[in-house]
Amino acid sequence: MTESAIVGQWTAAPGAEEIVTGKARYCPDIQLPGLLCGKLLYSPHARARIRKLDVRKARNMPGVFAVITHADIPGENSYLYAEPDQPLLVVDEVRFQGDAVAAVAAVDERTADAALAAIEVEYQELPGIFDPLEAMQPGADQVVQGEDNVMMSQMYRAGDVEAAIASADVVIENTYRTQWAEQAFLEMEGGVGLVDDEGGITVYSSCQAPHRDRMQIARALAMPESMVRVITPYIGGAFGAKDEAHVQIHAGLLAHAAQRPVHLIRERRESMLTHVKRHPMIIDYTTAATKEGKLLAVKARVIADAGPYTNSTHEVLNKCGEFIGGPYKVENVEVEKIGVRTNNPITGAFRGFGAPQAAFVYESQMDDLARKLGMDPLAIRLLNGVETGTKMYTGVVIREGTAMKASLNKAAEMIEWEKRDQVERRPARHLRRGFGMATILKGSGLGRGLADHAGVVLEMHRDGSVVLQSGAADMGQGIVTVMAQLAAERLGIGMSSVRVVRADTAKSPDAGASCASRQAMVSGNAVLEAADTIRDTLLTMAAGKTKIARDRLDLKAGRLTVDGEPHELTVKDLALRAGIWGYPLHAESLVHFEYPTDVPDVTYRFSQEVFQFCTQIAQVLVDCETGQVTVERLIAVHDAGKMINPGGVYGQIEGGIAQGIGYALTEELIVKEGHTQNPSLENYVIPMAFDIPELEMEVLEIPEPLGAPLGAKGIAESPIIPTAPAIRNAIYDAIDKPLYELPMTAERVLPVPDAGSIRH
Amino acid sequence: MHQASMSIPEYTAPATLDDALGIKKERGAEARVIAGGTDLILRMRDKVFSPSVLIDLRRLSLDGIALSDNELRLGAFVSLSQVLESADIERLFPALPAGCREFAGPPIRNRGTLGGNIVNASPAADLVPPLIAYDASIVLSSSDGERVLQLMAFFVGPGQSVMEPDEILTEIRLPLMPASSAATFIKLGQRRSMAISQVNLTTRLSVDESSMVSEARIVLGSVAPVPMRAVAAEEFLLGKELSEKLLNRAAKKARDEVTPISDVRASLSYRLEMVEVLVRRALLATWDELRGSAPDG
Repeated sequence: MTESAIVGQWTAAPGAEEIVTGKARYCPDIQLPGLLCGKLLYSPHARARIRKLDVRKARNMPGVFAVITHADIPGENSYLYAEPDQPLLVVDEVRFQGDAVAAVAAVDERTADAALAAIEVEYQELPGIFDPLEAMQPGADQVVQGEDNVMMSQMYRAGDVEAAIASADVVIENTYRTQWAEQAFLEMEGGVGLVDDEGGITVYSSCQAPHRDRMQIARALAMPESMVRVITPYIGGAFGAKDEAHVQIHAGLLAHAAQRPVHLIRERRESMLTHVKRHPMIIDYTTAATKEGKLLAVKARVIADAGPYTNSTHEVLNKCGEFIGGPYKVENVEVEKIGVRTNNPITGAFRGFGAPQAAFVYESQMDDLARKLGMDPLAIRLLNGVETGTKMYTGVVIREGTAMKASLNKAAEMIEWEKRDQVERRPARHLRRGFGMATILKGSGLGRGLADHAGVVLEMHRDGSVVLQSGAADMGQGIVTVMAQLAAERLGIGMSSVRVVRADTAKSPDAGASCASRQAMVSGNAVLEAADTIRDTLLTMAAGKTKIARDRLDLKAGRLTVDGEPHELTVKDLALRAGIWGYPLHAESLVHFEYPTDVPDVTYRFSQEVFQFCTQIAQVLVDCETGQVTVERLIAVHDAGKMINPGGVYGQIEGGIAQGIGYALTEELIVKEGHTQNPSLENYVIPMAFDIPELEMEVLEIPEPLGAPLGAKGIAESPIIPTAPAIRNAIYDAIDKPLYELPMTAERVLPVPDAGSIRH
Repeated sequence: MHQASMSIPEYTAPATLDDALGIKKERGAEARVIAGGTDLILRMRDKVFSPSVLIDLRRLSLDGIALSDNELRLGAFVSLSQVLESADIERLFPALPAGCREFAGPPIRNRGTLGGNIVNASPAADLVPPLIAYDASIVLSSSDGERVLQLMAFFVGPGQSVMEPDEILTEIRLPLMPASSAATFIKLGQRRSMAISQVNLTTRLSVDESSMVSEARIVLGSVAPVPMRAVAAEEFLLGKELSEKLLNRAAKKARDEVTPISDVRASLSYRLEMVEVLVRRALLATWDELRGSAPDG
């Protein structure tokens, strides 16, 4: 193929103008005749038995069209991501502050509020279980009666860890703690349900997995999935929290009960109290190495506070364990993964999916190890780093691993790592400057053994314009742009000629969830495959018409090209000709992510095999008296394989780092006895523009050989992962104090070891 | 956890102050003055306040800034952005715009007013410490007339003040400072913008001809139920010659005077420690400025 005309170019998202001018329709913007206001009644308690639930008064209020409780759900009363253990509406016991008890639909918001207030609920508060370590003890009170609080306990072993530790010159053992973190997307969870002409249910859903939503709505309604349709309007961010269903199921239930359209949108406070958070983890971690700094063994025990329900705890812990050794050659690894039920907030997917917690730990350990051995943090990482062909402890062989060391070297070059001691370390009596690095790997795709597929439908019309239908939800990450670019590139047409129908289960084939940095790869390949079918038809027609050999022909910039030179025939001419002659310019594809079969002994379950490598280096300034940390510089070097839309790639890196700075320094859901103390963006402190330095970014393009369209691989998750450990190591460098708990708030940074010398 | 929808009360924008005061007289606490609305609307949404009528004073030109020979008068509706745009304020009362600069973000500064920041009676209000440090007085008007009181005397507790239900805050008055006086504002928050203060403060020092401290103000926010002055530390400084050691000791004294609480933004012990650190820093910066502005350099 000739040089790219569209792929690799900075490309505005289709719909960008609508978004920035406020015309794009998100769930809250949807207007329908007779639209009712839906609301949910949430539990005020972390744990309580429901002794009485009486909705009669609310039902009889004028303007109230539906009031439903668990008893009114026609089908299954549960969410279903992995396990059906979270009720849509609680039956007899609320198990966290975000459990919903009843739902109402009324003529307007005030009436809906009044209806909620008229619902009589008598709670008998029960002593909750809030400490995962206590909850793990035998005989502990059960969060879900009859179910062990330890919902998951898995041990994975590779090599002989104990022997390796026994033979090591140096062993470093620490316990780390991480916090509940909130995704803080702009648009709150929402759904708009309506009854369609055939009595089925249509739901507009702000989500990441429209086809899984459809399944969940159908099973709650006891309706065939064929009668349920899920449409994604514009979506204002998700970061994992909308991978699991939220209120869209209730919107469908209420619309069905009221037989009217219902609009159900969470408010910020409700949103922060109800959706899945990043798992807080307690990680005991042992690193063993030779005196030359070569890693011998890693031993970890990861305990995750899951909240009362399973959600994606198994999957998140699985990924945490998969990457617990970092991007390093280490053969002896033992990781125990434990998920524990409590009456704390529910937990699940959040950008990075268990990898940020792991990276905070393994990269902190690397710096502790380097210090103990008197080694340079860069040198010890280069010494141990994986390469192309490295067999990981999981059994996975890295197909393309150049970027591990390339990103380290490039980042070090950008900040002049070798000269960092020439930078003023004490710009004032109370200020200390430091430098820290972190390098990570994160897999893309769902993992070996899981159904990782995506389909698209592509059609070229007689005027050369194209409609692309895909079930991949675009929450702002830009999959719509990437798919349109790939289609336009392959068909030799402009971006404005491609219309992407946003995911709609009535129109689009299932593309699976937009998660795991997978859509650019899987849906990207599906687009290429479908586009190639149409392209073949066009070129075959062109060859017939021009009598020029097929292999000399191509499509570019709206024209046929012959040996790369524009021909008088346009793509439009060819499309019209195909239409007249009855050649279909229609293609469907279903692409399955193919895991290599040449590696027989991949022992880690659901291993990912395409890796995002990246390195970040932070320069921080610590105020030794207030504990405040300023991130002065942040260098980020990421491998994208091949950038399809550079603007999208850089946007992901910037956004990930911003979220990473928050995760590192200020973001923490403060939960006391199951009650969240700061469910607002006033006191849940995400960074603002002034808290983020001008980022210094570099993107490597080392083509990925495995299942990647044009060599491109996912970039969505990796940017958040190294930020916290890079900042942690920079703080350590600045004030000689290692921190083992996130976030590294001013109060945790204090006291600074030599603070006595600051005073006058 | 549910946030109820906000009830929308009656709204009026009277043409004269007398009309406005008449409504206050008649309806008392039921009637609330709306200025920028940046706090009021949120509190109404959270049902902290449920007024039956909102009085908008936008037609009364309460947003004037007038400098006379002995004072600066600021209408209660002067916005934070207006403070930042005023060359007179920047020259004469620089700690006030310093407080505005770190206040929320531009949209809120365009809407939010000085009067609003005062009548909220928040212990964390960022503009109150500089105003008190500059010995601000305020004018409370009612249909029975007006009274002028020191801003310091206005606050009773979190969200509580001495303002009567029929009164409206109409003006803030700042006496002109002596020539050898300087002030410093410092805010500590969890991020660099859009933060609610963990501690905020303003220090002001004046010195006499023999370089002895003739006036001292150490005004602190977020460390007590009301904005407060560290009176013992202020008195300790009076009549003394400035030195680093002296200011360190004053900062320690200030720490002993505050009564902070622990909340989601900071612990009690952190606030205590920060009071000492920040008072010291503020006093040192004030002293630096005094030296910088002294005729002999």
